[in-house]
Amino acid sequence: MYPEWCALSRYSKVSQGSLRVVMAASVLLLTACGGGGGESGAAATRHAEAPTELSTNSRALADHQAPAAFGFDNFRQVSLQVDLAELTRDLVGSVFVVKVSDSQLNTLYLSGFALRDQVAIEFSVPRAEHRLWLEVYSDVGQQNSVLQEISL
Amino acid sequence: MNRRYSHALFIVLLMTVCASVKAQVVSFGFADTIKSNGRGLINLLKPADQSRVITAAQLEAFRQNNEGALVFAVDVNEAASGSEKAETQGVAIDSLTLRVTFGSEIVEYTEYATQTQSILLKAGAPARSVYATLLGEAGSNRVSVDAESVINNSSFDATLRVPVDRDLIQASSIILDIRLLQTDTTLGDPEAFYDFSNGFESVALLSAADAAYLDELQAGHAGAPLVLLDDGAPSGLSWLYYPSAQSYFLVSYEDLFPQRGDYDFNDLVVAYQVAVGVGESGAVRRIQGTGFLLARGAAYNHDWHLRIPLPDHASGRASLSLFAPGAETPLPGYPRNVEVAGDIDLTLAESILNIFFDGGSTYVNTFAEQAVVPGPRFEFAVDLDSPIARNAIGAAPFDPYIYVYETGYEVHLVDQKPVLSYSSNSANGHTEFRDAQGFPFAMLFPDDWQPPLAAIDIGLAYPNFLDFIQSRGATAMDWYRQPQAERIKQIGFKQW
Repeated sequence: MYPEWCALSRYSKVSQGSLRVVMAASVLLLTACGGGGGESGAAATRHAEAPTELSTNSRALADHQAPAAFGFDNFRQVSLQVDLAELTRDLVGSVFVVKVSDSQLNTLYLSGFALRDQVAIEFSVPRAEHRLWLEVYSDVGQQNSVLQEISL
Repeated sequence: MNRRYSHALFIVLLMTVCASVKAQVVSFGFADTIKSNGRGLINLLKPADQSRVITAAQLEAFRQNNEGALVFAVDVNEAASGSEKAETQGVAIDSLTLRVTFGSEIVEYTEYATQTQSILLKAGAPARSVYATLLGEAGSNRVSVDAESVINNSSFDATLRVPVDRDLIQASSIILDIRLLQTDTTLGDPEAFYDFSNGFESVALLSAADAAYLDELQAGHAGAPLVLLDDGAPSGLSWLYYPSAQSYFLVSYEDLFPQRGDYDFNDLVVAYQVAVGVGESGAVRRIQGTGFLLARGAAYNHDWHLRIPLPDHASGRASLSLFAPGAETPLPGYPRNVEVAGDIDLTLAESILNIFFDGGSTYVNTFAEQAVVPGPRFEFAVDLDSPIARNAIGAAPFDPYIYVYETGYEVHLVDQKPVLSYSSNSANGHTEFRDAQGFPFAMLFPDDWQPPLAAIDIGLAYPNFLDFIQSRGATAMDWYRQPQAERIKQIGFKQW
């Protein structure tokens, strides 16, 4: 059902308003391999084949042959492993919130927690989306949050 | 003797007053409401039932009945869009003042408590804070132990307690001044969920019995995001949203399967989103979702299903609701309760020909000259008897498919298999969902995609789509953002 953990995430420093940015290596483990429709490993291998030639100059699908075994996936599956203990190490508060958003600030994951543990989460993200945002904040307000950009 | 007589008379009078006070503690609604600007100025001496008279002595009886507090009920009445649904809605309280006038003296009470809180960013504020929240649901039908209570047949949801340390009998005016929080909705959830959007929330004063009833009911709690209890402890579930709390998967079909269609991919277009609620252990306890029928370019009749693969041992209960456009109360026959055993296969829109049409036409939102017709909305929630590991549940986008009445075939995304025992797919050997040219009969798109007009090949409506296909998805990944505007139907369903 799920892709193997297959790539480390890339981090970028960001600054947004009053949010304090904390960079922590090995906090995130990111996977983005395979399609939202659940492309199989075999299908992914076949992607290395030569592109199918167009039969005409028409853009209509009816005038063409589709590439073999192409999944037509406009979404890809992204897996993320978050080390909450590391991310919240310098934060104060009794309740912490983890939120993952896309570039449009749509919420993909939202969790309030008291225990600091590892969480593994998966998303279905449009292929045209190239970054997500991970934010951790607490019940204590200003100057008490972490914001990280996740490049896909 | 005379003194003993006076004492006895006093006791009789006291008992009479007590009996009278007790009889008066029947929950009632107020004429004033919380308006669409998020503010309510509620005159506690002005009941909704104008034939009734409410006195300060009666309000004092309510205070005594609730052990020194006035307890209010609020009918949370929000627009069911995005992560707010008929089944779960919420608002947050910015400020509250209970202003009591005793002759020339005015006493203000500003402390209050609700069952739930959340951590929210107020619009324009520099940082988030903890705010009291009110959760609820639409279309409910409450039942009180008291036949005279306003709670009966109402949809009052959450309680709000205001401690009052003074006897109210001498009060000449009692006003509840409440302001709901204007959250920064640009941040998505939780702020988007706890905004106020519909207004006119009704308010009632509760007896202790009705307050306990509503508190125990916990309307709307199960599906709400980032719920903290009144002691600040996290409650409820963590939520994974597919594709997000504010966006949808759009799935569209060609229904001539197994015959090749016209590739306009608008025979049926459905928007849906799914939220998976996980507990502290990381296991799934609840799955809920919502969506809309967007367009129908077909003469055939369809059912639309959403199948979510679960392990064989999974069990639970599902509730499905279908709503007319803009309605908060389900259509007759809904909600439907379904027992879950193994895979969840929900028929979320049945016999669509009969529920989604444009006047006398079976084609809806597929011709340029047609005015956009809002489609029915569906919601579902599945509560699992035992938590299930997330990786034991099928991955998003799950398995959205149609059953075509006239052909007897089911049509899925590529790489899925037929599942219905009564369909013709397996019997006729049509278990693969690609045509002879390798194209699918169903595709999934982000929600900024718009369906092509009737009979317009999707490749002509979106010239870059072919590049995406030819490169196997490696280039032109945003092909759906560059349509030929005259070849698509702008539907704008998020404003429905």
